[in-house]
Amino acid sequence: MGQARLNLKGVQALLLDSDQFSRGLIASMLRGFGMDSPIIGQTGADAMAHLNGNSVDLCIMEAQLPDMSGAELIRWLRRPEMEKIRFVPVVVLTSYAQLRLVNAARDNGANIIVRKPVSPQGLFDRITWIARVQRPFIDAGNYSGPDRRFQSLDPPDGIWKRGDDANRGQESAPRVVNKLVEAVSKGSQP
Amino acid sequence: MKTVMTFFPETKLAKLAARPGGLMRDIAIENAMKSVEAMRGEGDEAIKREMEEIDKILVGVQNNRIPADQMKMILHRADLIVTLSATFGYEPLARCMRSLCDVADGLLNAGHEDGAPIAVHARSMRLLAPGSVALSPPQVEVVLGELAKILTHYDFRPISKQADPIPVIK
Repeated sequence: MGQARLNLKGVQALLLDSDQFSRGLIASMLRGFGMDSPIIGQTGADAMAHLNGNSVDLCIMEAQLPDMSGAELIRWLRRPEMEKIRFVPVVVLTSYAQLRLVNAARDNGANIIVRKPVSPQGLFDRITWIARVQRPFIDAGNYSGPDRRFQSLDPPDGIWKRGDDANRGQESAPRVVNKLVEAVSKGSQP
Repeated sequence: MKTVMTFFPETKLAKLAARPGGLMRDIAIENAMKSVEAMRGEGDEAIKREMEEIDKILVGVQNNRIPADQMKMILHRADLIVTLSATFGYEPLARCMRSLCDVADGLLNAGHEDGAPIAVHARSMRLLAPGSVALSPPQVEVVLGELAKILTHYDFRPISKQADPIPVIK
């Protein structure tokens, strides 16, 4: 079984974090993955200024920026007026004290949320997942962003409806997704 | 009624990542881990700086009361130390600082300005800091156990217990 190989050379990321050391840490991980040095910003205003005239391929941001929440910034980014850039994948990093902001980030269009401290394995696997698993992008007026339904922890209709379904070889949707991600990260066909 | 539209955009990230070449997962991770490890010294310094910032706030405390704006700063600094210490494997310090975050967050939400529980955490933080006298695992558990009593005393819930669940994909 082959390993995932990812060519991140030339990928331009925008990295937003209010803490200088954390920015340096994530940036060095990205360079270790073969990515170019990311564009660095500290605030939502920095990001808006950059994104108004430039494109990025990946956005990595804290759940709470000094001047706005990550959720607000993502909502701004996902507006139809932003045209192609609105589809840019967004990874939200959440520190311990920011854990209450997870739902807001997800409900405003984050692709994925990663809890700090971020490990190289965790970050690489999530970037791999974002790059390889195509998720529909939903525009529903009050929500614009990647389809959130894969995140549902409840079994969909017809699966695990009965108490003993767990013993009948049926698998829940999250488990199927987890297997898919595992297969993708190992480079095999799911 | 608003129409729901579904797109299947192929992102530039997906296109670039699918090109031939690039790095195998293990090599990419090993490179990144080396980069992180190379920053350990800087990380220790950053932890020290953040601790000093907390100490500075506590030195200026009057009548053992910490106003909300300063409590927020303590919470912010402690949160940074949680991330830094967990990144570099200082787990006892990370647990101590999570406890400080829980207490500071609880005090803020309750509108209390008590300085004593913060000061106790700051002393424990020093005990568990990188480079300080190494405590044995049982001693560490005693320290952390005492800190846990503070949260119980105030009847605060840890932030992690109030947190939104992070969707698990792996």
